[in-house]
Amino acid sequence: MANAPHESATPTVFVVDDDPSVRTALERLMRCSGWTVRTFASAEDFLEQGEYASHACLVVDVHLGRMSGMELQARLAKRPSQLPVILTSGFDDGDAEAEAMRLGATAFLRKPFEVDALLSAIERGIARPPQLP
Amino acid sequence: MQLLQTIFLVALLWTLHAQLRKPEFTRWWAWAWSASAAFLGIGVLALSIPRQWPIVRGTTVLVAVLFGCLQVPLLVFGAVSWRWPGAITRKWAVTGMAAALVTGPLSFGLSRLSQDAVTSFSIRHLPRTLALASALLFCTWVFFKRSRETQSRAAVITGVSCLAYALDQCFYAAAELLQIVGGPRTLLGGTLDISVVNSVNLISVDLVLMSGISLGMILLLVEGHQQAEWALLESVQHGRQVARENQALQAEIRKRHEAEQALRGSQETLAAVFRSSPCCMAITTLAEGRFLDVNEGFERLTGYSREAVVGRTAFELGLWVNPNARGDMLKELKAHGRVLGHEIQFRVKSGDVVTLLYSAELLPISGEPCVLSATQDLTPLKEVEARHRAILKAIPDWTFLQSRDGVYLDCQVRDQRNLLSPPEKFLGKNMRDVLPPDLAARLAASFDEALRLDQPVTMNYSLWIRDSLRFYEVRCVGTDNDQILSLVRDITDQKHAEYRARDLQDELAHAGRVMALGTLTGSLAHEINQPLTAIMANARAAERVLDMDQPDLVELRNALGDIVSDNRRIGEILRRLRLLLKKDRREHSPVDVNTMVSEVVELVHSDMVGRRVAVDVILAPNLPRVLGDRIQLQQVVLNLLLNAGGAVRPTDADDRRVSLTTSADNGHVLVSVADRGIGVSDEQLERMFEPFYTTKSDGMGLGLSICRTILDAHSGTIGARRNPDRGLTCSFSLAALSDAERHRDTGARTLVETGT
Repeated sequence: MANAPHESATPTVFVVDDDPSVRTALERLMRCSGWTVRTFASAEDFLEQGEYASHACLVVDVHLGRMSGMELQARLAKRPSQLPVILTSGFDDGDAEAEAMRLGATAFLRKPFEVDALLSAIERGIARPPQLP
Repeated sequence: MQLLQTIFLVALLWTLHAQLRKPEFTRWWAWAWSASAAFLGIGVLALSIPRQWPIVRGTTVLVAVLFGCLQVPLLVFGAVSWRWPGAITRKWAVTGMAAALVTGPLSFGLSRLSQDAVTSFSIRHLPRTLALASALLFCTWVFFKRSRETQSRAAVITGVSCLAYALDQCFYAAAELLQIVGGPRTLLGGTLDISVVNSVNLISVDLVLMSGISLGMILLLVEGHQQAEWALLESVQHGRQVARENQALQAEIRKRHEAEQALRGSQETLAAVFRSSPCCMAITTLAEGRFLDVNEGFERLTGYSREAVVGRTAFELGLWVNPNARGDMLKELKAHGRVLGHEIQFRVKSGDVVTLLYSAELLPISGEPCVLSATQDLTPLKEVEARHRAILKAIPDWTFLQSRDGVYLDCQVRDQRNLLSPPEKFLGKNMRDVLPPDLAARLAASFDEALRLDQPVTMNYSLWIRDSLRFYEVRCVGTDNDQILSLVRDITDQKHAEYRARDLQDELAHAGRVMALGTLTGSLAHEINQPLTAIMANARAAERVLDMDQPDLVELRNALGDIVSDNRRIGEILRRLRLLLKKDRREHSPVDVNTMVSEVVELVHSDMVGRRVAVDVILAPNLPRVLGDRIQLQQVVLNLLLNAGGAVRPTDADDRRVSLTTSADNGHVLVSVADRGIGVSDEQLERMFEPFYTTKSDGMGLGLSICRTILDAHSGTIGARRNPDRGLTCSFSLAALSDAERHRDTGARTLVETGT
């Protein structure tokens, strides 16, 4: 994967989840939905390797190995170019949801979520104009 | 005649001189009278020389006169040296003799001036006579003085004689003087004519005088002898007395010496006894307890050497474990003078504490009151006591003597109450007829083994005695004549304790597992949610593939394959869940929090000891009960205790404490576990109870989240806060059972059951 930002026709979806079967499944789903997808097992990996331009979206699970999804969202919120973030969680955590939405998450989905909900959230995210505060 | 007497006197004097071992005075007198004898003899000789030889005659007369003059000083010297021995020095002697030797020729020369023979005779002899008279008067004085001093008869007689002689010479002198000056010749009725005087005196007066002087001399000799004798006797007597005294003294010295020896001997014996007594003995001052001496036994017992101890007090050495004990000892000592057989404890040099039997007695040493103490080490005795106690504990409750095939021959019973049946019922019978068959069979097998191996065989069994199950341990020993001696001990209480411990552990382990799974809103759910999400995504992806114009069959197959494997994964989780949930879930029942908590403390005791952490348990009295699952609540307490135990600082000795407190507050029962450990960060404090949140490298982080879940299920709360000084306190609270609820029978199942 090239590191240089590039204008691509197909929007990119970044998926960060520590569970391998979830990663595989989501990657398949994204591909079959017509998006470019890149998967990472941890937030750190994503921060290291993930460069994105406009028309990208991030689907990240709250409960990761070290840095949590919430923390990743907070970090990304400080960056100038805003990447739309969709958070997923296997737990029923109301506080995390409130915080995520406050920071401007596109969606907060509880696992097992309705796939349609995820897809529509991704579409919303990708369509969102960049540089939104 | 006078000459003969004079010679006799001379001889006497010389004899005296020799006899009395040549004292000075007798020598002088011997010489004096020798001179006198010479004077007289040579005078007579001169008279017999015819006048025709005037020079010869004159010389002879001169010599006579010289001798006559010499007599004077010699006489004086004698008297002086008789009274004051050693007073006549050479100087005096020479002076005196010289004077005499000058006077002689002088008077002889002067006499030559007179033509008259008688007058010249008088001139010649006057100086001598006068001198002699004076000398004799002096002698008289000496003798009389001495006689008064010493009551010496010899002195008196000699003095008197000298006086008489002196007077005689005075008479002579007077006559000579008169002759010279030519005066009246009569004095005192008598004629003083020198020639007459001469002839008369020659015979009678001189005789008397000489005799007197001779007698005096003899008496002097006798006196001298007597005195010598007395002196000798006295000295002999004195010597004898001295000898006697000496003997007495010697005897006394010997006796004293012997006494000293005896004393030393006994002292040495005592010292040896003190030193080598096997008892630990010490002598200390009464006032301060300062050590004056200690024996080998003391050195051995306490480990302190004698040099290290003498001069210091027992308190300095830290010997008395209980200093008040010494005070009590002193009181009794002062009251009764001795103390017998008190049990006390000493701390010896190595730091060990020994138990001693202490006896002491007051003992004055050099005026100062001291304490002689003897102590006996009771430690071996105590050990023996402990051993005996252990042996007593091991004594069987019952002893049965049976024949090889099981007939009861005899029994020894401590407590009949717990026997299956009284001795009269089973003695003589076979055990197969008395005991349950399987037990009898097992015992028979043990008997055979015991006899075969010729070694004790131990077996455990249980019997129902009066509606309770009791456990026994029997030791079967074969005897010489093919009989079996069975020693039975009732171990029911032990077994109960074992079961309880095991039960509790089992239950807690189970509860742990249950609760690990019980949080269906927690981590398990999360575990299932992941594959579910994957299945959903894969399924929808598969749909999309099918909607494509040219479905990618490979992709489809992969998707379906993933679905299947995720399903399996879920099935696996559920299977595990089922396994773990096999045991019945418990119902809530009234729980006594203090007992519940105490049981957990007992469980972790050895673990805490291993970590060297002390657990302080503070239980509020009359704590109301709560409604709950005892096991689950114990799981919570266990978790908190283990967390607190793990939090202690590794090096701090004072802070290796964990405190567990129960209390009631406003209708709630509160249980807190506090540690004084390393503490937590703000993030830790916030996230402690989250599942999978752990700061430990080996932890799953489920413990506290499980606890929270348990408390949630009990409608209670759990939380943590930092201690003001250091460490963390975790506590949970539950609603207390109201009075009405407390007495409700909810079919609680008690933990302690005597099941096999």
